[in-house]
Amino acid sequence: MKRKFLSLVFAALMLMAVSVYGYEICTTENIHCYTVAGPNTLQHAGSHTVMACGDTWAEWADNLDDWSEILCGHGAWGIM
Amino acid sequence: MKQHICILILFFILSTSTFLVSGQNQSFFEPIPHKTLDKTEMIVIYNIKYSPDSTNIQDRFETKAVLYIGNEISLYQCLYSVKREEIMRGAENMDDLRERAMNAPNARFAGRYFKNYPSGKITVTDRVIPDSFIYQEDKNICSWTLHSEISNYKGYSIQKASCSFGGRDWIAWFSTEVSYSDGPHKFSGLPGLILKLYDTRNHYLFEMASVEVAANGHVIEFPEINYIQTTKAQFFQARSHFRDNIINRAAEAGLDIESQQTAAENLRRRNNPIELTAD
Repeated sequence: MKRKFLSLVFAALMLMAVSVYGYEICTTENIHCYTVAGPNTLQHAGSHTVMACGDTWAEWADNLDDWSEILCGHGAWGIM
Repeated sequence: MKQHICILILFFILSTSTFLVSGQNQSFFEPIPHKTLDKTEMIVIYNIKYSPDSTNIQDRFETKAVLYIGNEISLYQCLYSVKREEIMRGAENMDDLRERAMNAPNARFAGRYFKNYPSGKITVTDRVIPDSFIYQEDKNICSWTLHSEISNYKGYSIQKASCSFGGRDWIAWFSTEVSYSDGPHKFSGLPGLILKLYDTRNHYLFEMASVEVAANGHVIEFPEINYIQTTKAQFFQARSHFRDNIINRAAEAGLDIESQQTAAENLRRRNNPIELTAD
């Protein structure tokens, strides 16, 4: 009985781990937003810490780009 | 009992360490596998002006898109996503990648539209964070009405046509002088290239900026990644679900409460997609 219970717990934990770590790459990045304040002048407009994930770096970059779009609007952005 | 606990501890150490070091151990920017679909014959650049917020249509945004036309297949996508990929591709390490990400232009839309792939269909790949989706629809998205009005645009003789698609009425100006039956977004099917396209509410405007013969060897490629196969209606649902649950999705991505609110507020201002309905 105990063994069955532990096997179930083990399976559930594995399932949880797979769903959390489903992507090969996950990093936490600071997205800095900027607004255009004039010709060649950018003004800092807040920053956001986000976890970007993807199966490849290309997908990771797309994911980061998606979040920057949502968080910075159409302002400029950068990561640090 | 002790054995089970040991297995559990070992499992967590392994999985956690894999997670933590995964960022460092990947070989950098391995190119995504691509399938070559066609040889590019023409490259058309479009300037796009649009109102992302239907409650404030004066707030106009601008971007550029590129249409690669092949003998059989064409590909339409955001020009900045092409430039972004080119810049990121050379990254050698994480710091280099971050540096390049800062200098690369933002892709304003993630969709890629492959017309006549497969024959008679449009294959669309698009994203809803963090997933990539793929769906198909018929290539003939609307029934064009040809009008007798003619005009000139950038030295080309153009003719007016109209159709309804995606909950909007569209006006297109095409030129038979560029004998490719293609155009921006999913639009095609006219007796020439669409040089100008807008909806009657003037929320979206596409204007041809340049038409060039493609360099020898340029090809139309299809990125082969792990897409979620879906239908257009289901993709629209997934996008809508993301919007409705933006606070939860932002929280899952590790954003703090203030950033969650920013994301929700910015998404509220992006409520006016090109296609309002899945038809």
